[in-house]
Amino acid sequence: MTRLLSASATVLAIALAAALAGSLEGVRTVLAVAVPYAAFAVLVLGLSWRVVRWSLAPVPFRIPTVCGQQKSLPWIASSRLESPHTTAGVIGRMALEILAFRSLFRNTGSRLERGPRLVYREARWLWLAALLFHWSLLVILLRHLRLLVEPVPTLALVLDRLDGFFQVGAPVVYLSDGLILVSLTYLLQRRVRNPQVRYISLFTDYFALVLLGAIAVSGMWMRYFARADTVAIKQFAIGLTVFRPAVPANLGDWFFVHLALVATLAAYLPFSKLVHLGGVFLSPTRNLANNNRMKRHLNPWNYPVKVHTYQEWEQEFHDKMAAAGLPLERP
Amino acid sequence: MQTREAIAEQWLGRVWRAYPSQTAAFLAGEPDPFRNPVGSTLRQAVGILLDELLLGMDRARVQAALDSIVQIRAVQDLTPRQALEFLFELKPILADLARRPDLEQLDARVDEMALMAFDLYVQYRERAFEARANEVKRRVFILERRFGARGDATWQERGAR
Amino acid sequence: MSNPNPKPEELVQIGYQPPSKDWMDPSVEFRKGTFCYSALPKNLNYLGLPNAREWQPFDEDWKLPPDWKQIILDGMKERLEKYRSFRLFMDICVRCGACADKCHFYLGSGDPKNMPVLRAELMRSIYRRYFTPAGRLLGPLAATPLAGGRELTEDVVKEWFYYFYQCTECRRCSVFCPYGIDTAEITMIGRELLNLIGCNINWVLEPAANCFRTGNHLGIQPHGFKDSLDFAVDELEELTGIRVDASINRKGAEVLFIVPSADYFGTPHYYTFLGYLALLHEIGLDYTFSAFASEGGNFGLFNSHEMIKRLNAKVYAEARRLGVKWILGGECGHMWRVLHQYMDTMNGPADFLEAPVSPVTGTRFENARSTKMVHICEFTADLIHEGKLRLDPARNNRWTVTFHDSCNPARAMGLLEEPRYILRSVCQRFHEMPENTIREQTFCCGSGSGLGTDENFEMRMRGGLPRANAVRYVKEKYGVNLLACICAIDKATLPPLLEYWVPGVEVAGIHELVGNALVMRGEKPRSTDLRGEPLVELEAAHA
Repeated sequence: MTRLLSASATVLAIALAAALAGSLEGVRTVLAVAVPYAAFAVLVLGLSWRVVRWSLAPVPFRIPTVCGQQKSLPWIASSRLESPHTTAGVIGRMALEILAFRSLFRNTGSRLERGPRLVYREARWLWLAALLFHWSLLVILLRHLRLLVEPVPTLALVLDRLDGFFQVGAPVVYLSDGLILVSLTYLLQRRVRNPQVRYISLFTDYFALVLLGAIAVSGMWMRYFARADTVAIKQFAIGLTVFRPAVPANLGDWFFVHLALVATLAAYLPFSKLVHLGGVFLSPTRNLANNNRMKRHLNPWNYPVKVHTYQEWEQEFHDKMAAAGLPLERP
Repeated sequence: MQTREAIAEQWLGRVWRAYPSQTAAFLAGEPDPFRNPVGSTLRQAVGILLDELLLGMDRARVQAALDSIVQIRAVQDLTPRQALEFLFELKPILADLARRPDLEQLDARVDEMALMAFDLYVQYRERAFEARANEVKRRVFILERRFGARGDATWQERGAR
Repeated sequence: MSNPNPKPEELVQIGYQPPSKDWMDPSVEFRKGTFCYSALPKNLNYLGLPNAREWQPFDEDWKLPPDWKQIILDGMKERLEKYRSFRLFMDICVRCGACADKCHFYLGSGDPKNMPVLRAELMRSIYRRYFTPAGRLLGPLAATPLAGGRELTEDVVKEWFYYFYQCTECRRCSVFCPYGIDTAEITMIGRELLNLIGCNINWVLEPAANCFRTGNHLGIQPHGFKDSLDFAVDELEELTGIRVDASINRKGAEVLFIVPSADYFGTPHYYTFLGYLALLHEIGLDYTFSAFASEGGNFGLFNSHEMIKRLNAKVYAEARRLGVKWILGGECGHMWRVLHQYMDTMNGPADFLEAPVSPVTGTRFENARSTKMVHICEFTADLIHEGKLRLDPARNNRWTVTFHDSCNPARAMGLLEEPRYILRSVCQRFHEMPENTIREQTFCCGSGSGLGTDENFEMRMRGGLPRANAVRYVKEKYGVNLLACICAIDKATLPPLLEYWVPGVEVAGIHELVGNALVMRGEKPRSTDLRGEPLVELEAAHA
């Protein structure tokens, strides 16, 4: 509980500090210009540093976790996605893993309901919530292109149209906004209420969830309630992207809160578990083919080791072998 | 019947409490017997024990239910006392929830169950030791058989001659 | 009933109270029956491993070398640079808990540190303290529950020892992890680190030392190996009336056949061994055993990557010396993890061998074209499919069979259908265990990775409960009385497991059943199976 509370307090403190800074004339520009640039730089450099470090570490052995039938005899159907033996299969397996969270989905199994009570399989909800969260986040990120690029890319426009499909409310309520809130709430309550997960949760686990939640809430508040001046925001955002920053006066407190939280996330990401967004691509139990016996895998640091040679062995047991009539190299 | 459900749930609650909390939540929560063999076995057995306690006290059914519980507990990190304590946990619950006139008879039945459980506990500890001993024998199976067989053969040959 | 009925939810008192100890507290209690004894100095010395000494895990003083902490930290640093898996798995876990209830030790014991995620966190907390920017910046401040780091203390070493020798490296958790984090990988590195300061267990080191010296885990010397083999040949002759020829160290044979040593020494392994002998004789394979490579198993896997390579080297060395064309491997689990995923990389390339071709069917084993080693189940499945064997499955009518996928053939190789195809051909009653306990989701026997010791018996019974439970289910539902498997450790440790949990179910290798069903040319009418037990009357079986 302390971990959740301290995580929430940290996020709240950042938000309040941002609101305060946004209302002070001098600090405002720093917050609006220096912080985003710095955070973005940390994100790009930090993430590259992480990915480079992982890539520099070799993969000495080919150790896929095989989840299906191997490719062996021609008349036995092999599982191309769960036990891929070709590059195409590996790409398919990774795509399923990254786009559909295949392994998390595996959590389903035969379900036995006892008594009249309907029993939900919690693990399947985890898969659903995780999937909704990540996809919503992606859609929201892409939607933000509307504010960052002029002319607005077609992709952003199409997403915008789809996401606001239901045409509810003014401004139109986005589906992804609702889903990200629901899924984050589920994930957070699961961390708090499921005793196993609570037991393993660290400060950083709560911090990431609360931070993401706060970013979503502040963004939505701007759009739906504070009715932030999108023209001003877009002017500001485009200024940042072309390195000619200008800070309009009418951005509003909520914008600064949102901006500061996003900057926090960006700067925090490379140093936290959130680097899984890059790491998942490199996981050697998933991104290697199960073709171990077909194709030799090379270990760059393979070094000679002390072995017991046949000659040493024969020398030690020579007489006994001779007596037993076993063939010898040196009779 | 409501009483039975209430007693069962309360009793199970106490059985779970012997485990660390996160273990208890898992044991109590996961319904799939293959993913949670300990929890589902305990749940099922507790139900049977309670039925027999309140109704017929069919010794065979009691024996079977106790068997499944004790078998698990005999190899868990529990002292003999902790392993069998769950039966005595039943008494205060019964005192609260059962009708007074029943109480004496129920009490006696719980005692009888406890004695049966004690027998079973000892039996399973013995079985564990036997299994251990047999395992060691299997490991050197050929060694024993080879020397055993040759010994027999020479003895028989000698006898024949 | 005097009081109004409380609702069941109110009555179920699931412990929502916080656990008595935070997991970051490293103290563990070494209770009898739940850990393995330390390695004897003679074994460490023979293998040239550090810090050989007399000690036991329950001792207060573990007699660690004075600079043990530096050794561990240096070792971690080195391995973070050498294994992408290790660095990545330290970094990307989000603690979603999907793996938590997938570990047989957690299911059977309920000890939270047996949740795979926590087992890895035992190491990650040290990584966070000593190897991340935040940890190095904050120093000792990083060793707080809030920061998620821990100081490396002797208690942590003891805790690592306890929990890294309470993981069977079965890789079931890795199947469910959204990033494929493999606890076996972390356990292997953890054991390597412990090994650097001389904290290892005898049940791993003694077989390793024996294997290094004599060629096999049991320390059987070449003449003893020949003796065992001759004994088996005699017995097979008594049972079938056929004298098979099983040569040792014969140069120029086409195939080198390597089996786990338990196959010719322990039971029920031995009957599988008889099955191999019968089968390979019947098809007339030109093969030889080797007394030097008289062990396919490799306990190096449970010690260090270097030890894997040291013990495995003899396989290719012997194949080269004997001049065979390719290698055939018997039924074993971790042996095949090494052969499939490590051997070629470590001790290859095997360019002196030929891509395996079955001389009986002409099938070319394309899947083994680089490593040049074929699993006997692949080999036999091919023989059956091509109609090269005469089989009488009724001879196995004594048994109603189920199949236990051994962890490594399932999750390292994907050898799932071959053994099932064989089983369906050699016996008449075969039933699967429930879906989430077989194939890639199979449950470990609870004794793998060198934990199958006598002193660890209680822990093994707990760890094996999920497997035993599934066996009990098919026993009750279909009357299953035989658990078939293709792993030497399974054959050694499932019998006591079932003897305790599910009496009445026995354990056998696939090739024992093949040997029973195999109709050999010129055999005498068989009255018994390979165990010497009378065949079930066919009339009775048909009736």
